[in-house]
Amino acid sequence: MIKKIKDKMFYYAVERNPHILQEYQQYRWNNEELHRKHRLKSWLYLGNLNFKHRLLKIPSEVTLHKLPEKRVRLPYLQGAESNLLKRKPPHIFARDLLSYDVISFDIFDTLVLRPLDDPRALFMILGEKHNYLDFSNIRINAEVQARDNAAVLKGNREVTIFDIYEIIEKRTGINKDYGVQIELETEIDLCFANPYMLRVFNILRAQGKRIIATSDMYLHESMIRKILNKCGYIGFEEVFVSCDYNCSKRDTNLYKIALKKIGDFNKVVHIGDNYVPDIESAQKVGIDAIYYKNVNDAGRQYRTEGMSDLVGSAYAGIVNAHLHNGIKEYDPYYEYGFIYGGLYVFGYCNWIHEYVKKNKVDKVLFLSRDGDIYQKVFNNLFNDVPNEYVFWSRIANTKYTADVNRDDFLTRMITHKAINVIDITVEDLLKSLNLSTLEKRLLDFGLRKEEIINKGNVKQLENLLIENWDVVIERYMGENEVLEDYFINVIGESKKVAVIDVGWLGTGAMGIKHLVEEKWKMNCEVKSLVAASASWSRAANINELMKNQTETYMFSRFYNRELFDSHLNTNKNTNNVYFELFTQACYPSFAGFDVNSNFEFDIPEVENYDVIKKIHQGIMDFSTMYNEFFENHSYMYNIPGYDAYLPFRMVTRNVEFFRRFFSETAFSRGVGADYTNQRTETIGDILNKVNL
Amino acid sequence: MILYHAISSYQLLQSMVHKLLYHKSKKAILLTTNFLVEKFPIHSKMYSLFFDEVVVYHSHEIKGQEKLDLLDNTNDYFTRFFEKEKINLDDLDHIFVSCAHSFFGIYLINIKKNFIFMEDASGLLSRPEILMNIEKKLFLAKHEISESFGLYNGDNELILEKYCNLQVQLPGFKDSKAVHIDIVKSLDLLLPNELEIVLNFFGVDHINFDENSMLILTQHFANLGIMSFEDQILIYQLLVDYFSLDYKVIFKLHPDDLMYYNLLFPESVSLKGKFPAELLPYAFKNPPKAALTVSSTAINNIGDQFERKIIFDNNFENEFKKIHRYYTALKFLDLLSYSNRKIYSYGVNEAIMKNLINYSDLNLYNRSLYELSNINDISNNCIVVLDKHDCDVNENIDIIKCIKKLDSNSVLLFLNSHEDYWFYSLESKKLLLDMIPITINKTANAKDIYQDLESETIYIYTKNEEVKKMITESEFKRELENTGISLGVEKKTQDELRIKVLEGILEATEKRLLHYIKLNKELASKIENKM
Repeated sequence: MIKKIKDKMFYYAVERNPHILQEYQQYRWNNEELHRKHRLKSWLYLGNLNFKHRLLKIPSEVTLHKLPEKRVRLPYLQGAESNLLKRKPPHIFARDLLSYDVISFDIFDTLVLRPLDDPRALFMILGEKHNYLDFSNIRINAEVQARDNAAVLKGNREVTIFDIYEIIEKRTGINKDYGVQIELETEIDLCFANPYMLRVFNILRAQGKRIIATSDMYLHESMIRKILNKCGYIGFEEVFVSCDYNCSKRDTNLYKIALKKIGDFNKVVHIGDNYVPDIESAQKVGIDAIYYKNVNDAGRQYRTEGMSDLVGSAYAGIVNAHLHNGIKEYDPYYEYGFIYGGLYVFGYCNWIHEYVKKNKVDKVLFLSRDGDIYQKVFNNLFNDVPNEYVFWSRIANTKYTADVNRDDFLTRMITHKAINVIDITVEDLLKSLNLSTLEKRLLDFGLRKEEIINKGNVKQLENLLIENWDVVIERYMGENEVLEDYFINVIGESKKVAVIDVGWLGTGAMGIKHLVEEKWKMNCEVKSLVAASASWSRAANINELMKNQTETYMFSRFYNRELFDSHLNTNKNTNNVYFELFTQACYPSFAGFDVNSNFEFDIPEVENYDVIKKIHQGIMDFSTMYNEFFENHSYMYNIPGYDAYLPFRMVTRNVEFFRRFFSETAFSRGVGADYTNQRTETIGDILNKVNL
Repeated sequence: MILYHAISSYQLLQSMVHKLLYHKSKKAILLTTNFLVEKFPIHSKMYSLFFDEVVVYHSHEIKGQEKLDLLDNTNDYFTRFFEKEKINLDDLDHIFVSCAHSFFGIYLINIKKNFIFMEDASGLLSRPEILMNIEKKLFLAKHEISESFGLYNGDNELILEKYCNLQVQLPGFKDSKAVHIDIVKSLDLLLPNELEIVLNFFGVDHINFDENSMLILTQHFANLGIMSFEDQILIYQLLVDYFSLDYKVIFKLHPDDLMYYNLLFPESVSLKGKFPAELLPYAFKNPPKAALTVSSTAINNIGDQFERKIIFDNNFENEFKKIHRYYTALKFLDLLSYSNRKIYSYGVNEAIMKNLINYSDLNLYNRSLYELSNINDISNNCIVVLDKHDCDVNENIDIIKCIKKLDSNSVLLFLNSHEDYWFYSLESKKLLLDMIPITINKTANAKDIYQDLESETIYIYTKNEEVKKMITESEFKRELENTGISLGVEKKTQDELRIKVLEGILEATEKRLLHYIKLNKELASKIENKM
C-alpha cells in the first residue's frame, strides 16, 4: 500500500512533467552518493524543480522538442572524445559478470541502439511512411493519452503499441494494425546491436550463463525478440516487457516477476542505462545493478545544436553511438574526420549526385587534392555517375590562366609571399616559378636576388613581372598543349562536366571552364560546384554565383548568409585552413608540367600523411555508417548544407582544439612554397601569426 | 602444517597433485585469489578433499603506483589478512608458492620468509621474459618489484628450491635449486580414486574426438593485455584458415579465455570445462591427430600425444599479421617449382616459416629451412626469404652489396613486413627498379571482419629474366573463410608493374624523408634548448 502511494507520488511529482523528469534524472545520475546520504536535499531539489517547471513554466534545457539551447556547446578538448567515459573493455566487463548466475539486460540504449539521439525522431520517419503531416506529434500525444487512460482504467501507466495506435486510428484514420506493423518494421530496420554489449552478450553465452532481458516498453515480447534477433542477440532465456505484465522495472514489480520465474535463489545482476528503473529499482528488490551510461547522454553536450530535427538527431545518434559505446577508443584525428567532417562530405557528395542527375551532367571531375576524399566517398555511395580525378591546383590554375588572370597571378604568386609566415627570397620565388631568366633584370627594379620578399619590396617585384609579362606568358603557355591533351583525355566525349572543389571562389573550375570552353573550344560545358564560397574579398565571385556558374552546397554570399558571415568573421580569417584539413591528401599538390611534359608537384608534406589517413578514415566511416543506416530511407541523404556545416562551426568555436592537436600539421596557405628549405607553414605558425 | 599458494587452474592442479603425492597426511592451507574461486567456487566441497582450509585474498585491493607505496600496501594488506584469518606463517613447515611474482611472493620476500618456488607453468622457469612482458603491461610497479626481488626466475636467496619440469626448459638450462616435477607424469602416480577426484574437481569429461581432428590450445591474450580482443579473434581466424586444412577443429580454451569460439567458428567444437590442458590425456580416448598452440606452455607437457604439432612461440603474438607475406613468399617458391633448392632465411620468424612449409596447403612439405645469422653468408645460387626491422646502416650497406654480387640463379624474397625498405638506398635506387613487387590484395567476403584490407607488398629480386617473367605471370587466390577475406596476387601488365615499382620507390623515399624530418626537428629542438 505504502509502495503504491509512493509510486503515485513519484508519478505526480516527477514523471508527469517531462521537464522535471529529465532534470531530476540528471540530478540523480550525477549525485547518487549525495542522494543516498541526504534524501532531504533531493526532495528540496525536486520541490524546486516543481516550482520552476510547474508554476513558472520554465522549460528544461533538454526537452522533448529540443528547445533552443541557452548554453553554447563546445568541442571536447581533453583528447579523444571516445576516451571520455573510460568504460572497461567489454571482455573485462563480461568477466566481472561471471560470478552471477543470471544476467539481466535492459534493451533499448543498452543492448540495442538507434542511429538517432532521441527515440522520438523515429516518429518523424514514420510520418514520412504514412505521408502524414506532423505525425510525430500525433504519435507522442497518443502515447501520453494512452498512458493517461491506462492510469484511470488499470491503475498503472503500462500500455501496448496497440493501445497507442488505437488512439492514432481515431485521430488520423490510419489503420491500427497497419500503424503497428509500420512502426515495428521501422524499429527493426533502424535498431542495431550495441557492439559493446553484443560482445559482452556473446562472451556470457559462450560461458553458459543464463541471460534475460528486461524492458519497460510498449512493444510485446514477440516484437522485442524480433528486434533482438535482427541485432544478433540469440539465446535469451526470458524476455520480460512491462506492457505484457502490466507493471514495470520502475515500480520493481517486473523484476519481482522475473526473479520468480528464473528462481529467486539465484545471484542476479541487471545492466541498464536508465538510473531509476535500471539501478535503483533493481537494487530495491535485491538485484545487483550496473549502470551503463547512455551513449547519447555521454555525447550530448559535445554535439552541435541548431540542426534540423531529423538530420540533427541522426547525426548526433550516429556519432554518440559510435564514440561512446565503449568498444573502441579512437584518436583526435580520426574523430576530427568522423565528428566534424563526415556529415559534410557525405552531404556534399549526395548533393553533387543530385545535381548531376538533375542537370544531366555527363561526368564529374574531382580536383586534386580536395577531390581525393570526395571521390572516395562518392564512389562508395554511388556507381551511376562517371567521374575522374583531375590533377589541378591553385598554382596550376594561376599559371595556366595567367594570360587572362594577371591580377590573380600577381596576387597569389607575389603579393601573398610578402605576408607569408616563412621568409622567401626573390631568387627562390623566381626559381619556383621557373622564371629564373628574370634574375638578370632584378637590378633594373632595385631588387637583389637574396632579398626576402616583404611589404617594402613586393611592389617592385610585381612591376618586374608586369614589365616582363611576355616572358611569363611564354613560359606557361608553352605547356598548354600537354595540358590540353591531358584534359581531352579526362573529359572524353562528355558534353557537360561538373568540376568539384572545396571552395572558395571556384577559381579552379573557372580556370578549367576558360580553358575548355573558350581557349580549346572542346564543345563541353563546365559547371563549378563548391562546398562553400567565401573570400576576403566578399563579392569576388558574385557574378558567377548569380549566373549559377558556380553552385555552392553550404553557403555563399547570397545563400545561408549567416554561415557565410560567421565563417568569415570568426577566428581572424583562418577558418578555411581548418576546413581544408578534411580534404588534404597523401601526396603533394600538383604544380603543373615541366618543359619535358612531366607532372610537377609541390613540396610533399610527408609528416601530415598519417594524420590525413586518420581524418579520411573518420570521414569514410561516418559516410558508410550513415549510408547503411538509412539505405531504406534515402530521403535522409538530403542533408541541408546548413546542417552539414554546423559540426565544423562548433569545433571552430574554440581554436584550442587545433592548437592542441594540429599545431605541428603542415599547411600551405598560399601557392608555391619555400623550395630551397623545403618548408611549409604549420597550423601552429598560422595560429601564432594571427594571435589566436 | 603447509601452505600452497596458487592463482591459476594449472597451479591449483600442481598444488593438489603435490599435496596428494608428497604431503598426504599433513594439514594444508590453500591460499588463492577471488579470481580462481570464481572459476572453482569456494563453496565447492571438493576443495576439502585436498586442503583443510581455503583462504581467499583480493589482489585488486592492493594498490599503489609507486614501488614503495605498493610494497607498504602489500605488507599492510597481508599482515591484516593473516591476522584476520588467524594464520601464523611461522607455524608452517613449508610454503609452496606458485606465481612467485604475485603480491604474496612479494610479501614473503619483504618479511624475509623462506619458501619453495613452484613454476607458473611448465617451461617458464627458463623463459621468465614471457611473464615479465605480460606483467610489465599489466602493472608496471609490481613488475619492477618482482624483477628486483628475483621472483620471475626464482633467484632470490630466500627461495629454497624451485619445482619445475626440467625436461621442457630451454636447451642448456641449469639451476642448482631446480627440482624436477612433471605434472603429467605425477598424475599417473596418483591412486585411481585420487585421479578420479582430481578429474571430477575440474569437471573433465571423457570426450570422443573425430580422429582427424586438430586441437587448438588457446591463450587468453586479451585478458593478459597482450593484444586487443579483436586481434585475439584475428589470430585464431588466421591460424584456423592457414593450418586447419581438412581437420575438424577442437578448441581447448585456456581456463581464463573468454572468447566465443563457437560463434566465430561454427564448425568447431569447444571443450567444456575450465580444466588445465595437462588433464587432456585423461579426457580423450583417441587423441586428435594435430595440436596447434601459440605461447601455450601446456604443449610442453602433453605434446607427445599428437602426430602433428604446430607450435608458435610468443613472438608470433606480435608478428601474426605478417603471415600473408610469409605465405605469399613461400607460395611463389611453390609456384616457381624450386623443389630441390634449399631455402634460407634471414631475420624472419622461423616458426611461421617452418609451420607454413610443413603444415599449410603449400607443396613444400619437409623442405629444409636454414637460418642465416649474417647477411654476408648469402651466397650464389640460393633462395633466401628475408625480413628485418631496425636495421643499422651497416646492414643496409651489406644487403645492397650482397644484392649486387649475386648470380642469376639466386632469388631474394624481401617480406618488407615493417615497410622500412631496408634494402633500399638513395645511391642504389636502381636496384629497386629491378625488383618485382608482389602486391597481396585482400577483399572482404564478410561484413564483420577483423583483418585490415590494406594491400601488402613483398619484393622479389632476381637477375634471371626467365624467372622474372614467371614471377610476373604468376597469380593465385586463397580464400580465408574464417577471417572473411580472399587473398590474392594478380598478374600485372608492364605498366602496372612499373607503377607499382615507382610507388615502392616513392614510399621508400617518403620513409627516408620522414626520418630526416624527425632528425631535423630533434636537432632544432636541441639548438633551441641550448639557446
